[in-house]
Amino acid sequence: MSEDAPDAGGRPDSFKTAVSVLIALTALTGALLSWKAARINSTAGTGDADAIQAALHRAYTEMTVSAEAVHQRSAFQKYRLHLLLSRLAKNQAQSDPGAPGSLFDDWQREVMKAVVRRDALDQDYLEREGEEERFVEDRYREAFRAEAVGRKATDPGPFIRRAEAARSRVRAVVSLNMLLAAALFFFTLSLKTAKPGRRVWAAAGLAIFSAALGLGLWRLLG
Amino acid sequence: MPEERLKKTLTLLIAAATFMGSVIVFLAVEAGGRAADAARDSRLRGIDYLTFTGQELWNLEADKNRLASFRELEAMRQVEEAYRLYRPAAESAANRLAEERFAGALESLAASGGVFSSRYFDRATGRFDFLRHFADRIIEPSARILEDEDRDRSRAAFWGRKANVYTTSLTVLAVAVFLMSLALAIPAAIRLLFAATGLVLLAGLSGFCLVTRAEPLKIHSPEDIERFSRISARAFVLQGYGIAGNLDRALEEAGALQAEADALVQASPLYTAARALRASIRQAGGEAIFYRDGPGKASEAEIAEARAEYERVLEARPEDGQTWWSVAYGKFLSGRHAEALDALRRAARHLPEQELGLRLNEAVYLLYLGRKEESAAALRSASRRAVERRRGSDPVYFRTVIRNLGRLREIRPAEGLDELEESAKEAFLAVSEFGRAEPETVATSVGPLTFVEPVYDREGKIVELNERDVYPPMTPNVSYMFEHRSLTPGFKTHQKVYWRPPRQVFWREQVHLAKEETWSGKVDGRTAWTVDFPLPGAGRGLPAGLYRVELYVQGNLISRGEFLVRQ
Repeated sequence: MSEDAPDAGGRPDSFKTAVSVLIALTALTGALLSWKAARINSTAGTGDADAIQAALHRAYTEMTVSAEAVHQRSAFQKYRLHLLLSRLAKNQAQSDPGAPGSLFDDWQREVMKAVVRRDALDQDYLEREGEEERFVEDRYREAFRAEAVGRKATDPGPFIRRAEAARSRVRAVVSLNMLLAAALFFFTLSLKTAKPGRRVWAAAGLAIFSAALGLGLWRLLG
Repeated sequence: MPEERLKKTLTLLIAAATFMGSVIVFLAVEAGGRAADAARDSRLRGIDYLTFTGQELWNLEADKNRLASFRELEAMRQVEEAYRLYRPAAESAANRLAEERFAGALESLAASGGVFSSRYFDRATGRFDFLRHFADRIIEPSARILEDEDRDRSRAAFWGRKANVYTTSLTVLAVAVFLMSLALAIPAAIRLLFAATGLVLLAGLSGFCLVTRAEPLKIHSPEDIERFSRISARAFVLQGYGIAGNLDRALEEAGALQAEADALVQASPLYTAARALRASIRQAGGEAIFYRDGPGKASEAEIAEARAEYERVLEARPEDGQTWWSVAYGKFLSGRHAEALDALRRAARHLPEQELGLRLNEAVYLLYLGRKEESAAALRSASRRAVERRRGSDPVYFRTVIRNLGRLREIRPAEGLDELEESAKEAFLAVSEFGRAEPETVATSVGPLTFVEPVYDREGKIVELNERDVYPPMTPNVSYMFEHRSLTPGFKTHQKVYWRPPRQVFWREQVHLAKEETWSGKVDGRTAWTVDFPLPGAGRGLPAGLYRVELYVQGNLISRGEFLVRQ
């Protein structure tokens, strides 16, 4: 009588039936894990796309902010230059009583130029340091950036982290398929081995299958 | 029983193959994930590059504004100084005070650092090294970002290739499993062959996957990228000196850079971009010697070294059109004209956007091969292309080839070179001003240009014209006269001026001294024209050097002459 044959009462070998069911369960679990891995992988893809979109928003924001900040900086530098020229004229007028009358005109002209330049500046970002003023470009950029950004994400970092975490989960889930395949091997071995050794192989397969199932549930639910 | 044993063995092998399949799937997923990460990082670097250049170009604009302020102040100071010197002391007090104010503001500006740091700005002469400033601000950081981007792209390609190998392996594995399953199902003796084939496939696949898994990722280190970026920025400056004809400085820079580039290639022999950079530095050095001292052993040694390096680059990147073009140029400088032409045509296959530049060079190479008619045809074909598909880069290509032809005429004359230079100049004007590939034929004739210095009477009338072709420093304008016949009213006339600074070898077109006029004078007669420095009242004049004036009628180069402004 072959090992595969039914017993004397015509009933099939219950061990083989049980192992066959386990093989089917293992295969089904593998399929489910693969489906789950594919779904997680698509999350990773979305994370990559979101990261690129955030980087594009940042590029747009930074270029706009730079254009405005540089415009303000240049205006401030011109303002400072005329202010300096007006002060030099004033000093000359004060230190030289015999200075020509046109010096007063020069002084006034430079003062007016400085005033016009200063009016073009965003006054909120001028800071006084003693006699001097300075343009606080960092603060200006920060404020303008906040305005330009609005509700759009401009930091790709969180999306990159999300994508990388998703890929790490995919790897973990797919690695469980290796355990399931090992379990399948042992189940097959138990079917092809004579008593009593077959129970040992089946037990090994069951242990690996249980471990894979437990790890899978922990990974997916945890 | 052998039958039972075979079935048992095959069943277990199929189970083992299933396990192996799961391992390969894992490897494929891992490699695919890494490839996707790297591809995303590479795209992000590309966006970083655009963001960076976008921001820095604005900052550069701000620096230019500061420089413009400086120059404006300096010009105003000079004007006040000039008035102070010319006026009697009693009337010049206001000028003196204004001059002092401007000088004070200039000092303050120069001391404010940034663009006025000593690295770029020479306070004594007021000269600004914009090339170096641009290299530091834009080229070096850009090179770093682009190399990082390239590194990520290489990573993506590496892992993508591995993922593809694993995917293919899975297909082969499926075939092996199928063959072994077939061996289980059929009773004939052939099943042994199927089983053996399946087994061999499994064994081969295992080895193949192990080798693929073990293959290391070969990319250059961040330190190498850092060094590469630094050298790139300086190589940009070197190229700039070469283009400007400042060959002594180009050679000085090339000498300093060669050791650094050699060390980089030695440390990272697989870094192809570093090899290309090293080759470009060698070639720029050789080119500088060639144009300064003429063809000879010194230039040939450098160019041969560059050529060998470029050939190694081409082994890694056989479709790199820019490298083929560099090889072609190196071979041309070495006098290997046929090989140069061949390399240039290979470059043309990969650089469709540089078609004009390549065809213009082809005309030059063909001329040196003695194929004058083909050379003229290549120039005509280039001009036709420029008329049909205009690009912003067209003037750059025309000016470059005209500049090189002018220099080649002096150091490596060839039959027909003068005509080719003349035709290239006419083609450039015909394309840019008339939208034609060649100038229209005219019957106009113009005699030689005679440079003259007018002598004025007290009322400002010209009483005498003294012929002279040497002028003192800061001359604001130079007049010349010419006889003309059949110069029809309505014809377009152009004056083009080329300038060669002292101790430099290339003629540079002086676009600001060019003049265009629709003729409204007599058909036959004598006419005076002038080369004027723009804004002559600004107290400045024509810089020292040799000037070549060319006169064009309807795009035809019809007469020319030269004068000198002393230092």
